Order: sequence, then structure tokens, then C-alpha cells
Amino acid sequence: MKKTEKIAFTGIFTALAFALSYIEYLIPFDAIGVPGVKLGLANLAVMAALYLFGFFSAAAVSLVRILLSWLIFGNFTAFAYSLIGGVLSLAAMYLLKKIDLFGEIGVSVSGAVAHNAGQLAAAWLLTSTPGVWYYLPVLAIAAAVTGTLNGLLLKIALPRVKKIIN
Amino acid sequence: MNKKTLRDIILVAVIVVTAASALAVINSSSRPGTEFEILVGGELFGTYRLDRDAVITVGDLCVAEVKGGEVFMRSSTCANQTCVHHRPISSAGDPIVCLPNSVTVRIKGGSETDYVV
Repeated sequence: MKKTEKIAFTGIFTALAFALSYIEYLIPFDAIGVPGVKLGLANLAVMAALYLFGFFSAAAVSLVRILLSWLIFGNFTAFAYSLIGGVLSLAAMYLLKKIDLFGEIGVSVSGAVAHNAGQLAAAWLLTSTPGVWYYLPVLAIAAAVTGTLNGLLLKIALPRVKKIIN
Repeated sequence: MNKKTLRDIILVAVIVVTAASALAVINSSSRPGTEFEILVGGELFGTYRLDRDAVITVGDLCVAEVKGGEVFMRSSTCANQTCVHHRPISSAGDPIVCLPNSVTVRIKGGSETDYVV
């Protein structure tokens, strides 16, 4: 694939990630009573970029989406949390894909768990409340469920998307 | 089923089992608290009792309420209202954290004293 094509597709996937964050925002999970549980749909676009175009494209999709959210919604605290979660999640997914032992589901779940851990780390640092780590087990179980769903979706979508872009 | 899918399933199972065990340990070691504190930006705002129903106004940030030995966030000026939707807490170490306003409600006697993993 030509470099210009890759850049253009990265832009499209960033827009997709941003649209998915908005859909995510419309589906609240407040009833669970534990903050931080969400579907993580935007990660679908990040993972698709990782599988189709490689690490730098995935990093661009993830970071530009987070930056866009900050510029549009203007919430710096939310930006800081997203950034730490996003960077950790990206690192985890890249490593798991690199070692080539796991499939889409393993990569997706590890990204979800790393994202939650990153956000808790950020909350811990910013509020100096070590008690936030109590949320990790519940969040990890939620991440296992949503990560598996996202991984399955990616597994189904990837071959079809590949056919379109080639 | 290919090897990668099998490893995926094992990975997910390990995460779920580990998390469930951690949850079981937390629940079995948790005991009801008697006091809680409210922190604003990491600084102590005040310490209160759980056995006495009360309504506590935290500056212009939020309102916490104690009722029946539990404390919950009744209202908050923050944008996401996550703290307001949080379940009421009563066990030692349990927190309700409002990230946007940087307010923490925490039951005393938690991790710093007797919680070891």
C-alpha cells in the first residue's frame, strides 16, 4: 500500500473512532454503579488500524481521537485520563500482537484491561486515593466481556474491510 | 479451533478467575466502616460518622448524604454525574471519586491499615 493511501485510511479510521466514541456516549452504563465500565467501541477503529496499517497508524487514530475529544468537549481532566488509558492500551495491544501468540480477542481484552488500569492509575495519582484500585477486579471482568465482544467483531470485520481497501 | 483462539480463551479465563478471586478476597476482608472522610483535591475537607444521618455540602462542588449507615453523593455540579450514579458505600476502604471536581468520599479504616494482598 502506498504511503499516501495509508495516511488517508488512517484519517478515515480516526473519524470512525470519533463517531464510535459518540455512539458510546449515548449508551450509559451508570446503572452498574461502578465508574469506568464501557463498551470501548472506539478501540475497534484503533485495533483495525493496528492490524491493517501497523503501529504508527493505530497510535495516530487513538491519540488524534483523544485530542479531538478534548478540543471539542474541552474537558482537560477527561483528556488526561483518556490519554494515559489510551497510551497503555496501545502499548499492551501492540506487544500482544507483536509476540504473535494471541488472536484478535486476546489483543482486544489486553487493551481493555490496560485501558482500565491506566485510568485507575491516573485517578490514583490525581486524587491520591489508593482506594480506586478496589475497582480493578470489577473493571477487569467487564473488560474481559467487552474486550471479547470487540475482538469477535474485529475478527468478523477485518477480512471484509481488507477486501474493500485492497 | 486454532491455537491462537485457544490461547485467547485461556487468557480471558485467567483474567476473569484472577479478578473474581481478588473480588472475593476484597469482599471477605471488608468490614463495615464507622467513619468516612471527604477530600477535595487530595486535601482533607472533613471527617464524618456513618451512624448518624446527615447531609453534607462540600463547597459549591457537591452534596453527600449519610442514610442508614451508607453514604452516597446526592448531587454534584460536575458534568458527567458519575459520582451521583455511584452505589452507596459503607465498607472500610470503599471510595466514591468525583474526577471532574476532584472530590473523594472514602470510608475510613481501609487499605492503609489492614489490607494486604
